[in-house]
Amino acid sequence: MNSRKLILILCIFTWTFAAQAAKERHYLPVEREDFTAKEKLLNFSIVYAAQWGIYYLTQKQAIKDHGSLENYYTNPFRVRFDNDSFDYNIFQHTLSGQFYYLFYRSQAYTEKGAFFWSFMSSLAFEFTIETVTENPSFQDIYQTPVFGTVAGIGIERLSRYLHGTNNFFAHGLAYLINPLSILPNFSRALIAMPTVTKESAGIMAYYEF
Amino acid sequence: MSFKVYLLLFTLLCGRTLLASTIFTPESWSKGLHLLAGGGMNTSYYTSLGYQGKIGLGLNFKTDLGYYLNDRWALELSSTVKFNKLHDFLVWDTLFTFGVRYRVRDFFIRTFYGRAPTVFYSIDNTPLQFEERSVARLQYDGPVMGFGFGQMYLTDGGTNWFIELTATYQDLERVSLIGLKGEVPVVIEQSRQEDTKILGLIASVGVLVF
Repeated sequence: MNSRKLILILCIFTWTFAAQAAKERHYLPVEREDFTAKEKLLNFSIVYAAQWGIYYLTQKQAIKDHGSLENYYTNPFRVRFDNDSFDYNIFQHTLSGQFYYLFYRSQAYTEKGAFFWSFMSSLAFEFTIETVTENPSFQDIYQTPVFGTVAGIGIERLSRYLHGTNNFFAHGLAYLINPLSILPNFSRALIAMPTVTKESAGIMAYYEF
Repeated sequence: MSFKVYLLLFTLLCGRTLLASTIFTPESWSKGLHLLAGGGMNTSYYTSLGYQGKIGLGLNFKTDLGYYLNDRWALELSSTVKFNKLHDFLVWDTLFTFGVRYRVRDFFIRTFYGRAPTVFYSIDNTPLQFEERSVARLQYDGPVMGFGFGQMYLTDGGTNWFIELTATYQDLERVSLIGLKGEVPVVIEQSRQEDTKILGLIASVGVLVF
């Protein structure tokens, strides 16, 4: 089975369950709107660093073949419609946008807040990272955060529903589709307690899976 | 005003929207940023020497990212991705548009203008002249405009959903033959097109995402 079919099946699976999952209110992420400038900068910087890392790792050959410093400075002023394939424009950019969205949600942003910051992260990628090899494109600027948010909302609701079932395998699947739900904003608990006796020293940890 | 300027203005507008937070219903729109998403079927009529009079049928999905100015009016950036199977080609059309939406009771009308990259993939018998020149796909490009109307509903659970019928007109001004250099697409040849239009009819159903 090729990756396109796998992603398509995953999308259908996601949306089939998303409607049901939307009714479930287990594992609601905590939401805030009172982020300080420092917190916003930190969260944006984490995504930005991850974008550079993933871009370098996945586009090493393209950077070597087509990248240049001149591109980096001139491309941001040449926004255009790109000629990319369906795989890139629909699937891969949606997947990227989905992870931006899920990260901001994991940091307690509201749905609109997570969308807005996904939009900003997407702009940062288009205008200050990918310009090493190509021009910013209208398709990517719009579709990455918008399609990513729609997919992200579905994935988040599905993962929340699966976490709410209290089934070991369902939890595993929930972490698989939404790895960022492992971050502490979701309603699970990590308790660690040091234990020291005359004979030994250690730590007892409890993590609600 | 160019598409870039619209995009910039819209982005700046979006930056002010996190303040909006009253309840959205079909008969009372709340101010601020809202996203509609849905899918459905489309049929398209092609007019050109190669595809004269051909009708394609396929699936589509759309998103409307709108800034709702008040209870009646909204400005929106939209993307409608539609697919058609047309003989040996799969047509992948993406309509990027800027438009206006207006509400009358729980009905809405909208009109829009933008550009649409339209990609033709050969799925069965690749024409010989394309095979010889290593053409991976054809990409057309040109303006698109249209209008739509629909109705919104509210479920008992509080979800806003809509049905919509949209008519579109596309003028494919330019065609590029796209080849691949590794994974990077390159334009092999580009030329102007004469009298190549697509008339489309799109039926969609969807929800208010936020």
